[in-house]
Amino acid sequence: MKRKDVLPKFAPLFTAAVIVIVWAGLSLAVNEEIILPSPVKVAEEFALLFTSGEFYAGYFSTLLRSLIAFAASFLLAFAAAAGARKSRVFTRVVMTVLPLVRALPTVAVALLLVLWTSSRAAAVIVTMLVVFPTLYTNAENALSRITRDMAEMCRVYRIPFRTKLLKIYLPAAAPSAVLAAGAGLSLNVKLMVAAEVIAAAARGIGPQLNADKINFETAHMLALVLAVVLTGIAIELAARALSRAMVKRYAYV
Amino acid sequence: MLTFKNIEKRYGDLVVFSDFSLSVGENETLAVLGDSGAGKTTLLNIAAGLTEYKGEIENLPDKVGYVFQNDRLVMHLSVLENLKLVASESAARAALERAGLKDFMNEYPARLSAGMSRRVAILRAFLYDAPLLLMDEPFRNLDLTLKYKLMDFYAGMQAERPKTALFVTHEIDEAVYLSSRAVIIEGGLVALDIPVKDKDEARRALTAYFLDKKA
Repeated sequence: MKRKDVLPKFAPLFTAAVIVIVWAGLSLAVNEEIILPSPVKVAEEFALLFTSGEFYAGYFSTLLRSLIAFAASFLLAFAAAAGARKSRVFTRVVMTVLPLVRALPTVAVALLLVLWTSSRAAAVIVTMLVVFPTLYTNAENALSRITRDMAEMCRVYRIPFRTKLLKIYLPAAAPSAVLAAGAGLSLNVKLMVAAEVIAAAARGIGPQLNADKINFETAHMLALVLAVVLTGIAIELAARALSRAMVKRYAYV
Repeated sequence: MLTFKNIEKRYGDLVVFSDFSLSVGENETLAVLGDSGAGKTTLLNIAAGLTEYKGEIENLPDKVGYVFQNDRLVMHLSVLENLKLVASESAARAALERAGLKDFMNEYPARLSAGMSRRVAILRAFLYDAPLLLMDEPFRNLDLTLKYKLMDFYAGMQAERPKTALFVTHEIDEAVYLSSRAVIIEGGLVALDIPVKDKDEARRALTAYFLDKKA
């Protein structure tokens, strides 16, 4: 294998190794576990997470909330993008709403939502709002694969709605949608953890991080962060692989 | 007989047709020629129900087959699945076999050559159970050998399953080779309407029209 082929393949591993080495060096220099525990200590804590029932309860609680927020935001984004393709007025409405949603101060909204709803609902709604603009852009991109030409072809040949939707439109948008879903869901998990902390949710990775902060359990805290990071990476890699498989199978051009 | 009567079509201030009329005989292949922007594609889109218009079309069938300028095949469906969108599986398989595409029925359109892809698009239009066929420059951007091969393919299909056809082209040779009648559209009206019985005579008449216009 040529050198230029090897480098990009191992670049992520190389980067991770550099980070761990720098981290280990800094930890040695600081020599204070409460401030910066060593990578080994964090790795030990990380392994111990999987023996803790509390971790699983919190982890799956955060994951479930993320999925709910993501599914709602994903459906809303696709509905809005589909509406915008149909109507110029709707496009204008969406274009007015999007900058507003982007400009919303997340913490303030979360605090207000805690007052108005429950802390669980607040975390879900905040995550939905933050991820919506990104998902909308991705939904627009996915739907742009359904061209006017294709819609006209379906109209001329009177292709039934069900066939059109299931055999033509959804598969056409699928590779971009899956890619968008992967990136969106990964972002969602991160945002959900932040929202749980802000909204002081009762169960989840966020509250566990909060408890660790109060108890100066820095190594445990970093182990939780590692779990969230690895979850996000796994989701994105799975989505990329699925999207690539679709593109390869159908030979999209 | 399919008859367009007093058709009016505008795109904003641009008048494409103000009082356009044309008749097409049953199972006749009518070649429609004219400069770019003369309204040839608009005429097909009106017949296909893809664009609004004022006026009347008599005997316009409910269903029409359309060979678009670009093939408009569904890229994530195999050749067979593309044809199954408009016809039964047995009819699609039989048609592919007759068209020499049997070995490609499970291929995706992106893997086909330009000529094969065109053949599939023409097959789709023929397989669709519609008495009217619209074709918008179906042999554009093809090399001469392939073009004549495809025109023969079309002629064979037409002989096998005769349909009334409106065939838009910029090429006099194509018009003369395939049609039984040719019209030239200019200024939103039929400027020339000739039968194509004697191909040389028809070729001369159509060429003369465009040369006179140029002069």
